[in-house]
Amino acid sequence: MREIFSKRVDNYMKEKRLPNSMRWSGALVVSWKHYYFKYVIEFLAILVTLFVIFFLTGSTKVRNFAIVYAIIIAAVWIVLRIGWKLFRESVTKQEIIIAKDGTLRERSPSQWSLVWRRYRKNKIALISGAIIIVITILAIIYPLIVPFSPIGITPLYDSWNGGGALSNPNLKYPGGTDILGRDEFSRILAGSEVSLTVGIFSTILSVIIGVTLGALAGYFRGWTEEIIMRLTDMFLALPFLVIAILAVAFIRRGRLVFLRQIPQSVVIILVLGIFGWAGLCRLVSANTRQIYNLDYVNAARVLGASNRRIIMIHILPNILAPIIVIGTLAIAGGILAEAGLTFLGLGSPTTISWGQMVNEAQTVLKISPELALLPGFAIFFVVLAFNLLGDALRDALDPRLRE
Amino acid sequence: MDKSVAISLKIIGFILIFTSAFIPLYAIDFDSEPADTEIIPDNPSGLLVNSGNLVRVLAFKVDYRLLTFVGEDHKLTARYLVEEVPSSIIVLSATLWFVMIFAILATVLGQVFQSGGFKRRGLVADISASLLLLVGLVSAIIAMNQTLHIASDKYNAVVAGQFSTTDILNPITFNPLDSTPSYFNIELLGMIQPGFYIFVIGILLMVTGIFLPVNWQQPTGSQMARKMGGFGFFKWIKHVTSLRVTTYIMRRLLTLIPLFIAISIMTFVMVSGMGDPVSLLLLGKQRVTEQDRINLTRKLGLDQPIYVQFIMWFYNLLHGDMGNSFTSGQSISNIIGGLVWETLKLQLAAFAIALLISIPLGIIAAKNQNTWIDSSASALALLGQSMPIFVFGLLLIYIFSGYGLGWFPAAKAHRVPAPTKVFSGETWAFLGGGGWKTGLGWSAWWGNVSDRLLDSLVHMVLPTVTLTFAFMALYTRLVRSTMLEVLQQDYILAARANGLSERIITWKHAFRNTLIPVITFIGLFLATALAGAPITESLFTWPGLGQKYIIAIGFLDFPMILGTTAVLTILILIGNLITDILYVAVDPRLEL
Repeated sequence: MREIFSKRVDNYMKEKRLPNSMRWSGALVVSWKHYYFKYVIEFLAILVTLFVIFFLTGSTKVRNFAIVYAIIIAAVWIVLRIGWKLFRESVTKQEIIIAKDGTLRERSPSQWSLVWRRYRKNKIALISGAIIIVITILAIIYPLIVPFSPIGITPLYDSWNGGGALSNPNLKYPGGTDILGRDEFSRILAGSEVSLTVGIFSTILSVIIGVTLGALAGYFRGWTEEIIMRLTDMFLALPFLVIAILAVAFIRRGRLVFLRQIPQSVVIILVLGIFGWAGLCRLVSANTRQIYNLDYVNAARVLGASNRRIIMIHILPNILAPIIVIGTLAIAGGILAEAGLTFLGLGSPTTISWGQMVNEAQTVLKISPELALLPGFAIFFVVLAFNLLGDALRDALDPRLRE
Repeated sequence: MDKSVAISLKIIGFILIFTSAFIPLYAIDFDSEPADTEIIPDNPSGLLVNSGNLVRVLAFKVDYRLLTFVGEDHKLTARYLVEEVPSSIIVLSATLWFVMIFAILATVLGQVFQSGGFKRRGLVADISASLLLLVGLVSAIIAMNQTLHIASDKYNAVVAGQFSTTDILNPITFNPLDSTPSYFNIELLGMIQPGFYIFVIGILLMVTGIFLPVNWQQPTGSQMARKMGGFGFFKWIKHVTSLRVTTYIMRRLLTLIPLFIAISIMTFVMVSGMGDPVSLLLLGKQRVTEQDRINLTRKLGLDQPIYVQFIMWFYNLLHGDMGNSFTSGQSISNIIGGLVWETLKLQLAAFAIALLISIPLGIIAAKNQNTWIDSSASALALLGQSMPIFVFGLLLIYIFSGYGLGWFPAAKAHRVPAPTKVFSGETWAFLGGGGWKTGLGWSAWWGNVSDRLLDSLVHMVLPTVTLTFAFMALYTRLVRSTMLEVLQQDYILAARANGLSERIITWKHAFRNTLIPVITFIGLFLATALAGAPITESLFTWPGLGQKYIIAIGFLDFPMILGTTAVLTILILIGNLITDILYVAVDPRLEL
């Protein structure tokens, strides 16, 4: 019997289809250095090739930053390769482990692998995830791929070749040019940076505040809960966008001069994060209160676990699913809120933001509607992708929540 | 709730209708002193001042400059004013009387049918009675409309100088259709308007009175017994008025006060740190001395320490005074009074339409789970949730306004400047023009009303569609998921096992329970909708709170910013309170 199993293991080794989960398990340890060695080689090869190409053929600017560009492109390529590898592995993974006594057993799937199994069955989820990855990469590497500077007015002096101010979309300027003669396509690519940064980081901020306060309120009853819940009530009763407008105006052009030094996108991140945590806090505190009364928490307490350990080890992992879902949807909300704020003219003129582009293009809606509609639809697609991702995550994380 | 309530409702309705029929006559100020005369510097017509109070009052209310335009014919104009305007007042009054008599007949008829031996026919009788009432009302309105339109067109024609007044006074040669239809923006006799509203309220009350006894007839013995034991509606009333629930509501109400104070302090601190309005106001002025600056600071009250400023502001707020605008000097309460209505009008219309669409849509989607209907409803909801509101609005503007099809206007709420006060004589602009303080008769009251109403509606279309699209997404998802949850409950299974029809299960058993979260959303709606108001209103340049708020931030108009925030916060807090109350009232299972 044992021979058959070990033979199977040998086959795995020969075919190099060793499942991910076997790397650290039992007797068989495969070094990650071996596992990822070929990717390191590939990375270095791409790096050197690109560097040589950039250095020899590029313009001055490209030549000066040749190594940076080469690193970024090679890194993106490798991340994509490894991602694809992991994806394939997870699809074809055979859940077999070697126990301490040397026998092979079918591995009972972990919670996260179950989640991943459910997630990858959902075609829309995969597509939206891919879209988000692509947009994130674009937001990082846009300086490399924009055809023109998003803040420069080079096209203005190019009116013979489809440039000028407010030109129609053409092959050279795919999105046309805006009222100051800047390339719309480059600006849309560049706008993804602010949108994603604000959406993601404001959500992280509000999740940190909301989860901390919510867990405290749900775990420690009494006056702690009373204070935190009243605070939550107050933040829920605030007219969100109205106060956000006020806060942005207060920070950006207020009397406190040191606040004016904060960059525009950081201001919006702070404002959205500080005023957006209340709903999550309420949810977390309700869930915590529910779990607080369960037997295994009592058991842990009887065994002498500290409050911190109970919260971190026993309670938070069990309410992670709704937090992740709400967080993903909150990213979409954050992007929408940022677009709304900049649409109202609260952006800084030096920052490129989709909402601000819509705002600037309003006056020329009649002659060039694409100036307003293209960035508008860019917001729409990103928000749609995050909403779809949120729905898919909800289905995958907790099938009971499925509508 | 028994028959006496219904009867008293009817009686109140009668009285209101009765008084409303008199009100137009009161509008003619027969006894007014000629105090207005000196405002006319050189009186163009001695006749107008000297031929009786009625003529003078009416003529003054028309803007006398228009009369001078008529020139030599002013005597005839005066005659027109004497003959036409009061006559149309009398016509309207008569039509109201006519409707009233109709209504009395109708209800008496219904009462007779109902209290007589034909108890089973009570409903039929009432429906026919109210139909009669409706016919009377509609015919009266049509009659009024005709009369007033002719009168107003005549007046317009005179003013525009298209006809000599001799033509107009001759009903055979005058065809009002020849005159160019112009917007009749003379401030009209507004006493009619409160009269009209009282009239409408009276009709509504009476119709309610007609319908009430059908549902609550004298209970039979067994019904009485169930009532005593607590049943249905009565049990619900008992629940709502119980000590437990009342205490809960009072407690919620009390927590709102410190909440409001805390929010006020926060906004006050932020607003005070926003910048220096004094420098902004003095910008562009020549030779500004330091003394000017100090004087202005003192005048605006900014020389006080911030806590003193806050206490003064809050004290005044409690007395209904939100200060005066830094830029225009107007009272903030007055400004906001006009803006709140414009904002609420938009939001409430969109909210109602969104509910009307999304509740059936959500239920149908839930009933046909995992079919194409379901997925398309979900897709629509997702689309509405992901679309930034201003992008959808811009798309609508580009397609339907002057840029494209040109069907609807894209900016402003009215063609004429909107009045600034609500609940005073000068407004109700959403239904009609002028107020009872200013204006002349009433020759074109209904014409004006219909014109303004249409104008207002046309301006509302695009913003309302935009907002509806955004709200609908949320509600469709909510209704669908709740409905799915409810349909899996045991009592639905029990109902199915009992052999009830699917229709009854859906609408009677499932839908009512679906309503609980939907109702609680009404309060939360206020928070999201009102906070989102600046974007929609800026896009459509809608003269509401949101747009003016953005402008006020630009000009550092502190009282305006504080006032808007306070009003919005109060509205949201009230919305939350209503949610809490409704939540408890609808769902007795709730632990308090």
